[in-house]
Amino acid sequence: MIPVFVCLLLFSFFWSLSVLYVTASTHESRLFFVHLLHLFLFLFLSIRFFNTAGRETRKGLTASVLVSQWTWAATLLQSSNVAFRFGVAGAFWYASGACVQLLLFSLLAILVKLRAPTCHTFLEIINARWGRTPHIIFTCFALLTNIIVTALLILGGSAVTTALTGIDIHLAAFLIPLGVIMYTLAGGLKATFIASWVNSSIILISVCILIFKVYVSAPELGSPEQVWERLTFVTRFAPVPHNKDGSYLTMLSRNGLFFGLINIVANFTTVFVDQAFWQSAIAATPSSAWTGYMLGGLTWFAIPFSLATALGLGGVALSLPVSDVEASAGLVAPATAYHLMGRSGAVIVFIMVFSAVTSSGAAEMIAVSSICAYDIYRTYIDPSCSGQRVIFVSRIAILGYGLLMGVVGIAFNGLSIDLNFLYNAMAVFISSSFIPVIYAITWGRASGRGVSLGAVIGLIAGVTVWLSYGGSFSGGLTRGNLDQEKVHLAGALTALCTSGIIATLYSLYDPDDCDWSTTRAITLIEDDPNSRLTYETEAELRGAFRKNSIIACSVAMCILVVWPLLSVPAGTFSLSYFRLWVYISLAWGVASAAILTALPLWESRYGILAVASFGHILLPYRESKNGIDGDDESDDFVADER
Amino acid sequence: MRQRLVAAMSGVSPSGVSPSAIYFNCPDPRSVSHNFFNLSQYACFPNFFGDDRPRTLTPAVGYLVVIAFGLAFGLFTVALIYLEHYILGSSRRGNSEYVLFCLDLLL
Repeated sequence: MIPVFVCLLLFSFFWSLSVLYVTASTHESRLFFVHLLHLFLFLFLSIRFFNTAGRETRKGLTASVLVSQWTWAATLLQSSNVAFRFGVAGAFWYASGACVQLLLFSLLAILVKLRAPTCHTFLEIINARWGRTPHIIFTCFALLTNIIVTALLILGGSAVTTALTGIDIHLAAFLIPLGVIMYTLAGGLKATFIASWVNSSIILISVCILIFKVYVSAPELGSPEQVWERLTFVTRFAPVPHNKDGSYLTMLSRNGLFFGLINIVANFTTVFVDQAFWQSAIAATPSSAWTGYMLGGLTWFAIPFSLATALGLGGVALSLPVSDVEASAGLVAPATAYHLMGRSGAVIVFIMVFSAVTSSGAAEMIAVSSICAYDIYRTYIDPSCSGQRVIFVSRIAILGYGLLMGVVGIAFNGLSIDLNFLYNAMAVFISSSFIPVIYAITWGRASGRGVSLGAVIGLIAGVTVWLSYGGSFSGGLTRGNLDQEKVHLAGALTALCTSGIIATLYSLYDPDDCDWSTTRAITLIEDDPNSRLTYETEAELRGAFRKNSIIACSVAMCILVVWPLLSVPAGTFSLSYFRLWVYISLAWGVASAAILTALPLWESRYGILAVASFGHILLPYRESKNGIDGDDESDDFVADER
Repeated sequence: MRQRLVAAMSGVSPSGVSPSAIYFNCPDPRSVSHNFFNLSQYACFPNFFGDDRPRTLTPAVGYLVVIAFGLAFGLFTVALIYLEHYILGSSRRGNSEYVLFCLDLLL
């Protein structure tokens, strides 16, 4: 009864808002309605703050935002699931396969600042370079990515909410986005950034609590030795298929590696084709953009790695009766936390998942609203629209997409599509757009026709291989056959490689000749001094690009290749090797929590002081803004006088 | 610990049925999931969060987190943004620009 009542209440609220506006017949009544809306939304932000947070975000907050928006419900739930299924290899491949994208995106963050400093979305770059048809195609891919990511968030969030509290799963899917809608609608990107810092702090501190519980204080586990002994014991009853000796304690895991490859392919696409990640780069100051991404990638690694090493392996070590269906729905982590800490453990995981869903959901809302406002409304409906009109459209898009989030979650739940299936299938559907999108900002000779053909043919080829390979197993085209790691991998790699080959060959055959003047000429709706680069800043960014190319690629290679190769000779981990593994995860978790919680506060200390004193202590803030105190970032932008 | 492991090992079944099912003499042993350490609170459980068992948390806690926590968090964030713009910001629009926008929207 309560769920129906709440749904009716929400529907009637939003319905009456729409009806009020549509039926307001006179200008006066419409003006009155707009005033009401203004009061409801509190703020009337300028366009450059609503969608780009003023392009003045610093590295600590940029990293914190990236960590929170890259921490999906799936990160917390699926990472423990793969550790539960494949052992240490699952935890490692989840973390490494999804953190290198942030490290490498730091290069694109610099290129965005250099080649399209005035853009609001990455689709604007595509439009400026290649025109309408590629723009429409990649807008569809971008929206598809947002919808799949949102569905993953809602599926994970609602599954945990229902499993832990008994709230109807459809109602949970509908209620979760509510708070997000509110602050995203009112505060735009800046509000989501502040919320992201709170959320990433909550998540990382919770990770630390849980990992210390498993490896330090839990009565049944409480030390790496106990966990190692139990994992060795469990292997005798339930060996992991295709792992060396069937052990949970080895990196020599075939299915773990397959999962890692799918993870790498899928996540490259979800980062590079998701507007949410581009907008963080756009919002950052030039010097913060790449350092923020590097810091974000390295600190994010701790969340799946440390959490899955704690709760995923902990679940195996306790041999909890988590069924395959529950594991696929991401319920390993809540089960282990509940077993070890009782209700407080369940509450911690619940709040972590809720924080992850809200922060990533807010980023997705802003991303979709930016695409709707800039790439649909401003590009195709009203090219000469005012900034406030864009904000209005953005807010409508946020409201509409927020409600759609619930509907998408309900639809997928109704179709019995769980977190695990959707997470793996995601790569098949969107990975064909990855290489074309990269070419948009990195390769001046890339042809618009080539990348469009590559993306579309790659998608068709990927889905065809996925369906035909899945259907080739006994039983034909069943959900079980499609939901195999190797089937997903075949589809995803086909999509990725086909699109890459077509886009590259076509571009070599019929190259474009882009000198980035069109992307630099993307028009702002209103003047934004922070979008102009000084000659010095530009030179500095070019140097940073060269330096960061080496650093980012080296770190990515270390995480993706060197670390796993170094662990191969260990075979099945000895106790001392596992102890070292656990200590690394503990140290990484604690360091990440400390950095991401403290650094944004430290960077914003003068602003916080000014706000906390209600404007009475403004001098240090003004000095820091003017660069008088030697703040290394405050003088990044000066109006270009060249 | 080692004694418990050895004790649990004594219940190993070659048929692939969880030793816990034999240990607890479960009516449907094939449905029993894991629990190789024979934890009595999970005796004969086919899954962890069964539909027929009491929930870990009450629905009230669920509503509290999803609605109250969500709204409180939203209010906190909006209040912070408002304060920042009120005290520090140049990003807030003046009334004249607001009226112009309203006119634009109406026309």
